[in-house]
Amino acid sequence: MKILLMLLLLVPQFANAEKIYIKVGNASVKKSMFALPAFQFSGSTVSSPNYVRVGSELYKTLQNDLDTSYFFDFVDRKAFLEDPATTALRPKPSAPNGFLFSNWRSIGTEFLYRAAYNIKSNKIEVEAYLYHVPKGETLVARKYTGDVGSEDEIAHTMANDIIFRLTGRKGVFKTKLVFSSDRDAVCPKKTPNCTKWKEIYVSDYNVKNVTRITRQRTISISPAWAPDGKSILYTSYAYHPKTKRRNPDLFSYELDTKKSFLISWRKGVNSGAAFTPDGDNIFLTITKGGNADIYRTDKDGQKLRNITNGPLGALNVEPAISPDGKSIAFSSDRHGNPMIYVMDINGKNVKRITKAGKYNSTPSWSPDGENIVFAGFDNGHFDLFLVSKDGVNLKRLTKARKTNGKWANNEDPSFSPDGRHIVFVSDRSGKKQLYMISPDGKNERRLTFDNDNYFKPKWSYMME
Amino acid sequence: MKETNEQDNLSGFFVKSVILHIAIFLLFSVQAVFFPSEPISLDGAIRVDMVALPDKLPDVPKPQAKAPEPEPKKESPKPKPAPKPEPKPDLKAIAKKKAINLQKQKKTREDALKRLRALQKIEEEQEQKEQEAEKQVFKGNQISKGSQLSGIQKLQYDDYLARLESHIKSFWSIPAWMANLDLRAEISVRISPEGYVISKKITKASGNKSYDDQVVATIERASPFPRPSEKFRDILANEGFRLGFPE
Repeated sequence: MKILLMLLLLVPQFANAEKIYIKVGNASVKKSMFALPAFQFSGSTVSSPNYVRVGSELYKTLQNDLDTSYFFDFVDRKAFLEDPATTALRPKPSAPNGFLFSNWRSIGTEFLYRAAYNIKSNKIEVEAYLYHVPKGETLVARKYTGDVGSEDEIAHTMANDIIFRLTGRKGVFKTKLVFSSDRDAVCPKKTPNCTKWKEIYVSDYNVKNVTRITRQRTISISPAWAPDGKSILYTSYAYHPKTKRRNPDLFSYELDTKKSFLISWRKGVNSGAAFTPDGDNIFLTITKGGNADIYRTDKDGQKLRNITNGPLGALNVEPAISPDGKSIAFSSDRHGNPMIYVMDINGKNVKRITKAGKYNSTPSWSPDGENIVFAGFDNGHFDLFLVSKDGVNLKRLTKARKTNGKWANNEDPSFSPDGRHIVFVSDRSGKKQLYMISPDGKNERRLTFDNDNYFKPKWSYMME
Repeated sequence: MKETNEQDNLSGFFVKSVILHIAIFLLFSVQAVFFPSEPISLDGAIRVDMVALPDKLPDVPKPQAKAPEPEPKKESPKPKPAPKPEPKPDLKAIAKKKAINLQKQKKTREDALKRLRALQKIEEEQEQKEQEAEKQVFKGNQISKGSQLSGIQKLQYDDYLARLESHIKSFWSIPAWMANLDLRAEISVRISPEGYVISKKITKASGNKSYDDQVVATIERASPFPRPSEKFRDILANEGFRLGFPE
């Protein structure tokens, strides 16, 4: 009996033999100190008179990319203990004239990037190294080549390599934006109420290297990327000679051939189009009989199928397809004020996602399919809000005033393909300009600095 | 006649007394044999309730979901040691025969012992599985030896653990580029009575060496830890504690 009781007493002790376990929780996050000395020019300054411009362009673009990652703080050049212009790209002792890790370690450098470039018969050659200074380890060692004029692309590739080496995830620096803008349009002649033409433009993610892709001389709006990045959907108020009227028709523009094709030209609106992630189908808003509803067609505009139908003539617009291609987020006024809804790809299981606000529109999915960012009208202006696909954890991302003290509008959000940025339009400067922000509402930065207006930017998928 | 009557009465009382004693003895022994299984099932509850901070538990849905798993396993062998219906007829039979079946009693004891050993084995296996699965570990487990503490000592213990936790948290930081990579690592640490690290070992690597290095660096930065009071020094120096980064 005693043995029995002793054994019984032992049982809980066996169970408690477990060690103390403490969950430390999420870490505080700090930026890493990054030393980015000027790039060395290893060629002949006589044969390459433009070497200063090329080197400066490479450097500025790379620095801006790294800064936009929000991972790094840059080591002040004044703190450098050695002259990167006279020390080799490789460390001692492998390079006799190499740099010393200790010189960088002692000023708190975590990452050191050393690069040199050369220009040979209009080709830029870059040799670059990324070092982890505390460990004295080489993380990246690569050569890059490209034509003179492709400095930004080379620098974006260099930045992507750094991000990929550190995080194992692709960088967004070679992704593109597409947007509508009045930036080089004029008022059509003899127009009583002058409305500026708007054309469609493609640019780098930071709105550099802007290229106009349409010359419709009318209002072209609501562009959208094909998943392969080779074509763009947009709506243009095209002139119909037979009826002598303009109608908002849907076009597809091929970037390779630089040609536009008509996809949908049904009487009324053919707008707000979005490709499915497989690129096979297009969802768009069509007004048949005056009611705006979401329809599906194939990529050539054939096989039209009704996805939403009212109810009671309700508006169903701005379809945004989830990254897994299984759901559609859209805006509808079926319960009064326009709100964000999510439904299955076939139009079934409609669920209301937002309940607050007077007017919620332009939903965009995060690439992981967990969240939706949208513009919500609150207190007389639009702001960006983030909400989970289930309609919980509603969070305001933006709040800014115009120079006159009034609240600015922040609208037309679109997620970057890595989910770390959102591009949007804000009129805080007085004009509708492009900005970007992190999904936690931090790191807001202006992308355009002009007196033009920008509309409906859409961030591309990964381009490589 | 009176004498015989008295003798009869006496012997009658004696027999009754013996039977009653045996019955009571058996009742308790049966209770002791078959009810002790309850502390085993309670044991899970102890782990959860003694130390776990109530505000933390809702944050840990996974361990909660997994924690109940061992219980059914513990219970599953119960039906085996629970031939509860069997001993009852034994009791009656014994009572009727007015004799003690010692052999049967011995057997039941031995059986019970076997079952308990089997239970222990199962539990040990389960602990091993838990250690392998790791995710099943949750805050409540840190009670360990603390279950033997009570009153002020327990409060001191809880207070020390809380200080230890906030101390480590204050040193836990990672580079921005490492955030949101969904990495997890676990480290086992032993500390001296003065709070200095005696040993540290990554017991569950994250798969990303830089992250593991950050975890080790955090322990190095955090040393010395808050000095444990005398009561807990042995535990922290010999068994140490495990830390989950972030959980």
